[in-house]
Amino acid sequence: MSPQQRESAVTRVEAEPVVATVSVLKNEAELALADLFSKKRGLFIGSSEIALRREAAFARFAKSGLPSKRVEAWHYTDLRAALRIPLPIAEFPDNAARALARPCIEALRAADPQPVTRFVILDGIFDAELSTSHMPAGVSVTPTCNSLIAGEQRAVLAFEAGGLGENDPALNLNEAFSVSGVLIDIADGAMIDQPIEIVFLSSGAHRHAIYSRSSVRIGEGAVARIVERRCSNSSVGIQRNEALYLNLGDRAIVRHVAIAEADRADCIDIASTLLDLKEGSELTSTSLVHGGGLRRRQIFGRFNGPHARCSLRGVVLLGGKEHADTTIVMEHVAPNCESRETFNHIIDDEATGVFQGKVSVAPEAQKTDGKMKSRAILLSETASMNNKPELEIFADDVTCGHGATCGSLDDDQLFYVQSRGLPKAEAEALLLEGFAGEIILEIANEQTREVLMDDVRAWLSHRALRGN
Amino acid sequence: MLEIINLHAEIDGKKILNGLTLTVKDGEVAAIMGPNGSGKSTLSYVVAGRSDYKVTGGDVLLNGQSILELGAHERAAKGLFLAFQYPLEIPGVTTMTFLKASINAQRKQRGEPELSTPDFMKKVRAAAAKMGVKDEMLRRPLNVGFSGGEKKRLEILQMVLLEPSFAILDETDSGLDIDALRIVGDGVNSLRAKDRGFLVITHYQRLLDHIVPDTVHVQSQGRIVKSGGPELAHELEKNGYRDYVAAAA
Repeated sequence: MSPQQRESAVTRVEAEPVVATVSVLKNEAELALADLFSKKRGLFIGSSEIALRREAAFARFAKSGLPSKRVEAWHYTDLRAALRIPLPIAEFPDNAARALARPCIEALRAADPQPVTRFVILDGIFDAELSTSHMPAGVSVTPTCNSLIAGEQRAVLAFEAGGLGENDPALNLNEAFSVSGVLIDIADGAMIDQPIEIVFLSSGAHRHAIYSRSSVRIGEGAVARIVERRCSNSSVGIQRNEALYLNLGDRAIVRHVAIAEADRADCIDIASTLLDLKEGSELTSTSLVHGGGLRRRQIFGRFNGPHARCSLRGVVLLGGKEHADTTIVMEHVAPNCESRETFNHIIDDEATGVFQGKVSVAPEAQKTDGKMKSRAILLSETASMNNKPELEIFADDVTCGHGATCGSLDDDQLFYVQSRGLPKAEAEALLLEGFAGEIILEIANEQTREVLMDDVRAWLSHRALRGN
Repeated sequence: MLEIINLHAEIDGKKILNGLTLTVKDGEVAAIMGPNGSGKSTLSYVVAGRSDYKVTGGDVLLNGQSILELGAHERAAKGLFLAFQYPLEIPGVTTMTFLKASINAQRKQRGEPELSTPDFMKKVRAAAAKMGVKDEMLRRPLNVGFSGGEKKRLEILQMVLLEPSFAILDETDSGLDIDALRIVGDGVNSLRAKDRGFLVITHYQRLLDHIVPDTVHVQSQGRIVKSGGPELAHELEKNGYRDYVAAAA
């Protein structure tokens, strides 16, 4: 490819945002969201800069509408079809919500007794009472709403999030409607040993829509462990749209674990993680995601400095009629960076898994090393998996690759394990545990590793019970 | 004791075993030799209970009891062990975890209590040391990234730990260098006992220098065409299988 051709190719891509191909006919849900925004726009907290951002974000949303099958980035997760009636936005958690939330947090403590610095976002609102009050040295925290009221620049940064995912309709709604969350700051050079856990908890007290915007700035050369946990106590179907911006300074090192507990069949849960990677920074992320009615975990990442590394690994466990979508866009705009995406899905019954991974390499991002691997084991005839790995490369000196497989358990492996004395169901469970273990056993912290493996084992034994 | 009586088996409609009869007594080491495609591996799979092979006639008795109706795991619990020609890689499951799951699955079926972790560790460590299997290997996922020789050593280690009453070794010598061959041979010899039988499937004489058989049988076109003592193996090494292939046809 000649330089001119490359140039024009890039221009073409930038000129056509992915979401630009939807019909202009608004459905009821879109009209309701527009109505909601026009009623709320004067009441939102935040500086005029934030207000302008909300207007712009909603305008982008209004242009694209709710994404349907016709939008490539949402092809396998039809939000337009699922979100027929937008629920009212969650109010400040009342006593009923608190009362429901407290046992959830206590259960978390019991399940994993290792000390953590915990921040709880209850129904979209940072809850100081349920959160850790004593901060480790080098960590400071402000609820997003306080920062918005005070007109602080860091709230603007959290909303701006480096422009990551700015064409995503769900993220635009998040920017338009979020008023709370938590803003965490880890000082330059801080070595934070104790994990920082952000719990996104839905109390289930009310049927509503939850929006929140949080961010963690990890200062230059700082080292931290971050856990992102999504729990739902819902006895009613709710709609969640929450975003977390991880902003890694030069040479920052973050070990990130994301856990999404199972959600109700009538819930919609969109979790966006925005990754901003500066020079020499390193992010290792491992996730364990259970299903829900419509669950989408979307990660928008960008290498903004050279020699940064990012490894995203995940296990997704789905059964029943659950749907879970993992969509990742990693943008290489600086040279010499390395990205890895490795996802293993186990899908049973009539569940549907989606993996969309896109690695884009700008002309200046020479020596990019990007690899993507998605594998799925389907345990029933009616389970389905949609794999869409994508490479978009405009630099000529790169190493990029992807692989995707989808199939049932291997008969040879099954026979081998059975020939050692394990009955078929146990042999299957052992192989599936191994399939999940390939991802989870890479977690450096032994206790975290075991907690996640116990979670996998529980899912497998639950599955075995259902089978009988 | 393993008794294979007039066994017929096929896969995908293709007949592989055509009336194979063979008895291996307690304490006996029998070797089966034969050319490629004579159905040696099929025999091992059918006896071990691989379900994609269809038995169309005959019987297999382990210690006097027919095992054809049993699943592979039940045959294992009754004391049958198959060392695979190509041991499978089990990603994400450490060798240690796999060994423990196997031992306890068999004990559970036999109504025996599970081995405690300390007892298990003691047992594994002792057996592993004998087989030249390092601790580090036990912590790695089973067979993942192991060399051919390491995989075969792990098969024998599993056999030593599971203490079967009858073991089938399917081309355990393939892919082994001389040192590994000796270790594997020693491992098998250490298990030779008057209440335990072995069926050693091999192409070549060289494994039988380490594991000296009591009887040698030639398999061709799905049945035993000649039986004799250890001298038969030497004769085959010298003259090849040509005469037997012709005889079976």
